Amino acid sequence: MSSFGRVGRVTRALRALLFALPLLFLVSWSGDSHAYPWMIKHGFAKCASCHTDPMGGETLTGFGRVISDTTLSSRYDGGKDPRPLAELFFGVEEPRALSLGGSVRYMDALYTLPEGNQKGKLRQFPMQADVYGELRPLDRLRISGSIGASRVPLNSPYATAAQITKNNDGDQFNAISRTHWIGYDISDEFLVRAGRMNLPFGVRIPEHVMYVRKATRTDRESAQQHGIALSYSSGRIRGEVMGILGNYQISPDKFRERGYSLYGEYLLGLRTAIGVSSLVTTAEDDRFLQTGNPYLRQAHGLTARVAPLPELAVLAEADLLLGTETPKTGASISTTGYVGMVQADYEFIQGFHGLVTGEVVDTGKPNSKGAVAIAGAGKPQFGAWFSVGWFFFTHFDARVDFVVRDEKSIQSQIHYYF
Amino acid sequence: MSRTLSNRALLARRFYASALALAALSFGLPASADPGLPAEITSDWGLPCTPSCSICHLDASGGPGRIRATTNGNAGFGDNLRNNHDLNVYTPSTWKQTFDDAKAHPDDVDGDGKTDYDELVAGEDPNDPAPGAKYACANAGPEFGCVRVAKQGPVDGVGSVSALVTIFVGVALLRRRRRSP
Repeated sequence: MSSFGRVGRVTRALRALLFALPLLFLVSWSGDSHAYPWMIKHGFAKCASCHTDPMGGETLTGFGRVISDTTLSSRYDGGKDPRPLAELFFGVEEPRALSLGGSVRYMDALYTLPEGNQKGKLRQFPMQADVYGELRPLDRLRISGSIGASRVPLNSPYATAAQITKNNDGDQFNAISRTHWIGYDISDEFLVRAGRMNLPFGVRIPEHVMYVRKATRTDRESAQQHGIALSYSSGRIRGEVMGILGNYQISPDKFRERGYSLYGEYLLGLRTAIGVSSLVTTAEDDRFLQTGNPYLRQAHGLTARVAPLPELAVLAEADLLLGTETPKTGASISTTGYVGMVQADYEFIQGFHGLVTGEVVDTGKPNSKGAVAIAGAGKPQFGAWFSVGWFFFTHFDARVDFVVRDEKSIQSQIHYYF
Repeated sequence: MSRTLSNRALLARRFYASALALAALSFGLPASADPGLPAEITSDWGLPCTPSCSICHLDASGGPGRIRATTNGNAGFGDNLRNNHDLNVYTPSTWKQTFDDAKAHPDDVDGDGKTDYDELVAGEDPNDPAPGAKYACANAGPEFGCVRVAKQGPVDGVGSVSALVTIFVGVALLRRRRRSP
């Protein structure tokens, strides 16, 4: 799709990028990126085919752009051939050594339904405006990263962990970088990377608030960590193991988690895959619990991706959650819990999806004296999503979700990726 | 992949129009309201520090449906505000009335003999009857970001130097590759 070495084309690409950047930086948000594990129903089980990240997400490869146009999105011309529309900004050819992309995602309506004495609430906000890319200055060397901006309220759990700048008074703009890494292709099968990366764990879904991603802290919204990772992809097997050195975009050091995270997946058939995940981290103080005591966090689980029909994909994940707090005096406090989800995605016509998701979480009741069980921590907390997604034009998708949890909400968002 | 210049120009215009519309829509929109509630109660009641979200929620990540109970099994401070003082987290204009109402009532959700208001003003956790149990302050959590771009100037030189080195190396490698036959 692209040719290399034409200075004029490089100049045009850079000019287009420079023109687009100021527009993007007018936008603020916190949010997610995209990766679609249900593409297994089209026979694309390996993320590295379409994404420069071997485990999926963010920057598209040239082949990924083609598939986005020919297979992912609705086509109104009846054609199946890739079009120039699939390229960067609908027609800018990227040099072979450089892949660029980005996402602008906007929550145009988030309506929380009234319940009890709680009134309904309609909100709108930008969720994401990221530019990302990968440079290959040498054949086997990769430099990849993302940069964007965010503006979230004080105490928000979103975006802050990916901040580059320190404007922490709330409702201020910040530059963020969710990923940035340097990688080396040891061979066609092995890639070693160092930097800030998505944690290899579970099914890499775009719904970053889904219980499985929140409870395991492995979403792609801002849960990435710095570390060193080795990935493998060949034949029926793909996987990655990452040594976590901590998130160096938060401080002080006591809140940085260190340990490992891994994910491996085996293709039983063209459209059936099973996987295993494991994560163990420790920190001197947990970022969210803030007890002042060392905290050991574990998650271990299984995944499945199955496409029993050409139009239907089923994604499933179940994880065991373990936590151990070690007070300076007295006995340690531990929790044992679980989290899981099942999602069915049916593609009625090319690009138009209906999704139903069921989820459950129980992070466990602490074994300390006097602790009580409540929904989500000692008792199961359930959730259900009823969703419609439409990739209505190449580079665009829109989605509506009816989410039933402790409170019910209707969400509508539009996503432009380039 | 055939193309014509006029088509590309048309598509480019469509793209820029879409981006401008998105930017215009997003500019100045209000953010989610509930993370601001701890700061409001701090100001209204004169608390010694802004409580972490864990004053009402299971942990500092907050979130609907993750409301904590007291450590001895009663409905917690957050539930009490919601159920007995008409707290509507999505309507900040009603918060003041909720705070005044709660302050006027001698609620004691953990049953330790001190009202929730008195405990909070003393920096204590209204959900924990243990003597002297303090609530977590929001500023006790991590600081986010590496580089200060406001008045103080950069405080993390490593990040700035790394970014510059990466840019210079990238540019040098590209120039070298372009010069090679």
